[in-house]
Amino acid sequence: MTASPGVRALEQLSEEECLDLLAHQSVGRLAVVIDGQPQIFPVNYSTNGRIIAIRTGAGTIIAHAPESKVAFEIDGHDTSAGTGWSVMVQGVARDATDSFDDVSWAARGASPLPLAPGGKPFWVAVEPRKITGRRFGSRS
Amino acid sequence: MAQNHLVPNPRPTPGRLEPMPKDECVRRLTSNDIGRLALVDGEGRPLIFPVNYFFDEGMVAFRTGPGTKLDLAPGAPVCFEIDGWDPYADLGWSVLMKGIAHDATHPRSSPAGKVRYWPVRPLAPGSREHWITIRADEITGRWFRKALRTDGVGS
Repeated sequence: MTASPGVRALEQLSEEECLDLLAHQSVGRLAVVIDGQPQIFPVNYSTNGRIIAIRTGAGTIIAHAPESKVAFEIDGHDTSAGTGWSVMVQGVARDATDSFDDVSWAARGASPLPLAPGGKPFWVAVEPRKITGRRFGSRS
Repeated sequence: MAQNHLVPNPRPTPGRLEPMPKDECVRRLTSNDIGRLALVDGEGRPLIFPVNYFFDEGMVAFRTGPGTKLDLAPGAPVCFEIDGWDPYADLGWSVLMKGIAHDATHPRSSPAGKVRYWPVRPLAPGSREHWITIRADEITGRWFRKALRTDGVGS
């Protein structure tokens, strides 16, 4: 048993805390379901308000994500300190490349910087329906 | 593979996103211990959870308690992913494993039952008495290095 009670408690994060974490990271993972099979894609992203913006090339994401239910996740951990957190966004993705709806407009106002090589002419927006997060261990 | 004797430390060409060789995918699955699991719920919505895992013999094992992962994973097609950024090599990479999850908690669920002796060490608190395995149907990886700059800016 640990000498520091409560240090390792698992805590639910508020939506505000989740959005704050989302605003300060740049790498996340997008999950898309293709024929019943979930697939995960690591992506660079950026947020504008609640909207998550991703740039992508001609490939699986732009072929399958738009108008589909998706999940987006970020996490962080410090193994030596025994701390960790994760945020999951569930929502529907949208092809925001050249649409003029509010979500697409907001997405294109974000500044995702893809690190992976290759042309990324397409924009994908994720509009959150549900945002959940968890944290454990102490924050130092 | 004979080629590995000639290229002991294969790396992607700078500026290109390339498939990672299978043995490199396996090496990275073996040398990491935190990944993400994707599942699909009853409404067709994907979910992603970070998990501590152990990989051996073409199989990922993780521990969990009662909850969403235990409800949804056994018997279902799942996806497991690890990724990282090696700052010294300017190298980004990810490995994806697809397969069917299996509840290996009970001894009769052998041969997967042996995973209960594997060193899976959950970082998060809470009871995790159930063992879930994913046998790889497919392991793929991708990696890239940043393009070398030719304009004299940066390094």
